[in-house]
Amino acid sequence: MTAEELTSKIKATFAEKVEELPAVTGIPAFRVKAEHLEEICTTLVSDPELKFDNLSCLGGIDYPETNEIGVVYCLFSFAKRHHLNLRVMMPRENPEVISVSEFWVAANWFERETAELFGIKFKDHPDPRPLLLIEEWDEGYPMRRDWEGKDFIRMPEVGQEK
Amino acid sequence: MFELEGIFNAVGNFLASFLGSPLLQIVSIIAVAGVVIGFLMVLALFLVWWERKLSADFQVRIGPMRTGPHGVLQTIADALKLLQKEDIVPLTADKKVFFWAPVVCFVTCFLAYICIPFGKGLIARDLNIGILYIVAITTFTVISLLMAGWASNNKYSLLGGMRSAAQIVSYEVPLSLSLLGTVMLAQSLSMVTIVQGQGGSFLHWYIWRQPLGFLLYVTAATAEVNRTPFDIPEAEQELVAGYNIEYSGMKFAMFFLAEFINMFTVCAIAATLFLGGWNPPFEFLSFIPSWVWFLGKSLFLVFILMWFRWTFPRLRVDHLMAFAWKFLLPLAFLNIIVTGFLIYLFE
Amino acid sequence: MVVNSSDRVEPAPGGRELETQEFVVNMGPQHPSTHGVCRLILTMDGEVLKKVVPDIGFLHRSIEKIAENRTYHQFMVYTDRIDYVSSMNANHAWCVAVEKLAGIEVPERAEYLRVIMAELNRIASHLVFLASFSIDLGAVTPFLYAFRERERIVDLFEMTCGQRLTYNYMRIGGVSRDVPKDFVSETKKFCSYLYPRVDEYEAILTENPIFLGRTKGIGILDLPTAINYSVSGPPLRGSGLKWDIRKDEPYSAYDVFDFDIPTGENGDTWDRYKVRIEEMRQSARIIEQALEGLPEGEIKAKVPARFRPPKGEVFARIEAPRGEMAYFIVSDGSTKPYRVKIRTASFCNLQALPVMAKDLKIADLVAIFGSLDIILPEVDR
Repeated sequence: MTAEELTSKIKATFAEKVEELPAVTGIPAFRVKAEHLEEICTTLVSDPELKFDNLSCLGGIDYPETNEIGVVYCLFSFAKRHHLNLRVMMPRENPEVISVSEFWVAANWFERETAELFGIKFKDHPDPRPLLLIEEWDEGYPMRRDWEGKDFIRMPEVGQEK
Repeated sequence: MFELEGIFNAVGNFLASFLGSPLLQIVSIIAVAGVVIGFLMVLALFLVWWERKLSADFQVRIGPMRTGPHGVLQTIADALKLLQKEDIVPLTADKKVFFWAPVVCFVTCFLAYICIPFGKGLIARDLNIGILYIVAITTFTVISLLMAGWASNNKYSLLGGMRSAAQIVSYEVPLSLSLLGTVMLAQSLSMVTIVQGQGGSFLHWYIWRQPLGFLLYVTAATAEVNRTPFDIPEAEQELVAGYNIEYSGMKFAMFFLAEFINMFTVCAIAATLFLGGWNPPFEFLSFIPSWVWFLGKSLFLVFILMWFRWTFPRLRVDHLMAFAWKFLLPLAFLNIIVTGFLIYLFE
Repeated sequence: MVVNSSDRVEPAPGGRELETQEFVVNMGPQHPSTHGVCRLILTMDGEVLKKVVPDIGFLHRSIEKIAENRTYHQFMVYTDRIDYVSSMNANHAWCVAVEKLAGIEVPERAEYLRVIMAELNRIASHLVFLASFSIDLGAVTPFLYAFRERERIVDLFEMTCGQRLTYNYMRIGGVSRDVPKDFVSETKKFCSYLYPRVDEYEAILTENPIFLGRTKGIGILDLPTAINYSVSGPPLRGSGLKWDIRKDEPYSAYDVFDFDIPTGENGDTWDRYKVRIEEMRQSARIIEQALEGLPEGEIKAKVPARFRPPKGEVFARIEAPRGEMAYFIVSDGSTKPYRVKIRTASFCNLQALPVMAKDLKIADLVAIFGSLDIILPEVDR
């Protein structure tokens, strides 16, 4: 399906559960609320015209200015050869979203990494252990934009160095 | 003119002229043991150097070049280095067994040379059960590998030790059976008789009458000495050196040298039983001393074994076992039956 | 991490059973055949593996966090280090992503040069795979033969950009410098030198019964599992799917060239090995075509030093030698990216290792690990 067809199909299937975002260089992008994620993913996997069987990428993203933290899902379908971008944003205190590792097993490690680096809790994750950081890590969530780690110095904007 | 038999006889007569009987026995035993051990140590040094040069040749490199001309002193340098290394014994290892394992390995590999004919009249003791004795003694290596694997208190060593024990025990059977063909042809277990039965030209060598036996023997022998493609016990890529992980310094050197001496042992046996021992291929070449022929044939087989190592990948453990029991063993039996039948027909 | 071995088997009442117990072995961070620092915790029953749990993170250098602190131009150096064996491809991925974000038009000569460098690096990476795979299986000699060929490729790279491992050759908008005068003839000589060498490797390994016994039927990954685990690259093609981003979502100048996509049938270790051998030949084909058609012109588009891409996001992926390498970049209009998410092939391929190695032996685990061609810096970033 082309990007326009896919956009209209998604809007038609899910109506008010999704909110259209500007396309990510040609890939349709939608914003989804955390509580609707499970049923949307079920439809995305099983619907014969959508058939998203592959999760390309799953990453966290943090916007402290608008007090939002979220997860971006980049989906791909080998059967239909189309991409989709989903974004789930949550308030920064206590972010929780369901784990999609029951739909795409690849999400297992991606979610473990996002959980330890951003502090997002993935419900029903089969194996919630830290992946990259050590087990005894207690110095916060490093990938958050306002993390005050002792080794991290934010570089000044180019052209404004003293 | 370089026949060493004459030299040894002369020395023996000289000693006998002033030593009484029991003292003569002891001195001659010590002297012969000293000569054999000395020769084998030099040989082991040579073989280590040769392996490095050969492997370099196969791998488009040149190998050691700086220690001495073409690196001939490299092994001595390595031995000196290993002598100076700290002898680390793991805290939780079984100290007595840990100490005795390399000793057992090193000593038993020399014991086989009591019966190996280095040339005409150059055999330490011509036992009339020669080949049977050798096969029995070479099995002692299993004990030392198991001791090493167990005493190190290390899961990897244990795995290595168990694997090697299984491998050596499995390959003993086709090895011994493949030798029976030549024993039947020579009608004796004594090594000297077997070699004398192959006198004449190279057409009398037993390899022509026992081709299957030769192939079986070489395959089983490669497995006996833990060389690739059967070198699971030392598979560095899987077990990080297997049963001798925890050994350092001179103890490691003992395992290492014992492996090379064992390799020469099995090649010497093959040369004796199948390639005519110290007989020259043609009668007119008998001006070249017999020990030169023996060494040449053995070293040629050593070369073949080294060639295997640098060419083939490694067999997996269960493939190895299946190969021994389901393939080599029936072939060995077949060899014995056919040989016996043909002997009966033609004699 | 603490791992417990399983419970003991209780003897039958009234008799003494031979008790066996599963034991836990650590294939530790330092090991000759985990290519890099990867810890595998194996639960074994004798020789048979019951469970394989990879423990990663030893090489985590927080490249994604560093990316928020560097300009787009400065980050190019870090991309080399994500996958140092095929760093031209890693550079290429970053360039493709940033150029897609900002809509930069790359001159044709630069695109052709990029393709030549990327394909040469693909051959070099597959040679490293061949070397380490065969040494894992015990055949030591192909290691040195493969590195002899790789020396020639690395000499070509040194002629061009001065570096032998982490090239930093590409720039946003093009490449950093033009190739010297004899590059074209030397590369043509190299390509014709390569074909008989690949045949030589095949003669040593492909039909060898010992090699077949170690690799055929081992570590089968069926296609639905592969797609679900987001496996990509030669493992995915070895499982039977004819998918290559260079052909199916072409980027750079790949739509101009004519090449085949090798696939396997069963998804076992032998298929993954054979796919990479064939890919080496196809890469040589691409390089020859690119050298023939190399146009004259600029080698770099004009991109300002304080490069500010428009606000927005991009998700772009390329076919690296190990699989799919993708960048998800969020830009807020300043000279530094707001968020960079690096999706590497080895991360997802390593996840599929436990499912491939179930109920096989440790020797098979080594073979499967080698055939996945994992590079740990890619996994840990």
